[in-house]
Amino acid sequence: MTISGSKHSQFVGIDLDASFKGIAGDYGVWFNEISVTEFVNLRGDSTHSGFLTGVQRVTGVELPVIPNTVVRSGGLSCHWLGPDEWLMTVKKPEVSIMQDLEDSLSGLHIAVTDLTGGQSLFGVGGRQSRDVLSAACTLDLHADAFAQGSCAQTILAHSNVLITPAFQSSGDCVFEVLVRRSYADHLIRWLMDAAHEDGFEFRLDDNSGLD
Amino acid sequence: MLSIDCPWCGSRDQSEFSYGGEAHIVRPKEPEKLSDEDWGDYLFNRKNTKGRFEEQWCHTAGCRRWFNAVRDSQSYKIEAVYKIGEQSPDGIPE
Ligand SMILES: [Zn+2]
Repeated sequence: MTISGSKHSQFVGIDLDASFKGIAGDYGVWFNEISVTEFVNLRGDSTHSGFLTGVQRVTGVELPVIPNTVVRSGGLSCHWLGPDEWLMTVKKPEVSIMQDLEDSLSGLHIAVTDLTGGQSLFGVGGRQSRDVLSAACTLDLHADAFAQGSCAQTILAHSNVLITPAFQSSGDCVFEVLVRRSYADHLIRWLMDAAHEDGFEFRLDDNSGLD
Repeated sequence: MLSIDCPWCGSRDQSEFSYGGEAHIVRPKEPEKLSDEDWGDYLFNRKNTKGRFEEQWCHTAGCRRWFNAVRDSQSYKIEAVYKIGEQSPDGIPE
């Protein structure tokens, strides 16, 4: 099985037909690959109005200044990573913000770093997705504590990750897990193992949330 | 295992943090004017407080910011956290 539209799958080497029914007789968890065309790390002074408007001019969104929140709009997500640091992900192949950000912010004390190729993003959904992730993570993933619009950097199965809950119109939640590319293989295998009790399958559709 | 309040992220598990030792150590402005003994003191000598202790922590696996905490070295209770540049709740450090 191959994943269309993805030249270099983060699931390379994983047998995507290796679905496994759990004790309830079905698939409690599913994994899917989420294609991201651009990962950009941005640093700057959020108290500087020229910086904020410069970013907004390019991205169309206001930078989130509340810790551990994400702003999404039209295929672009902007995650708070620190008081002066953000991660932008672009999911539209025809859009690139890297150069535009550099142009729009030139002269300011900022850093724009292209992380594309070094990161991978996948989705963990299904009835038991919270339970499976919680087996490897100390964060409270309950919807009351980790609501729509939040994101968090934490440790998942010994790997540094950024987790973003994406609530579907059905009310189901897909957890988008961003991990350094070289950890992706370890992480997905760890989660497959953790999901044995609940059952898991791989999905090919890129239904990665609201943006 | 401790739960530590990051001043930015809120309560997180201790496994996300790394320890940075005593806080509020100021680098001497003119190191070349210091005696070897004073320079060595700045570099190596740290308090070994029993009780309330101002110390540095870094939220390594989260927002990656350094901050300060007042922790009781006997009970391990973290009594306050505050951002770099903010004043300790115990007042201006000596
Ligand atoms: Zn933090």
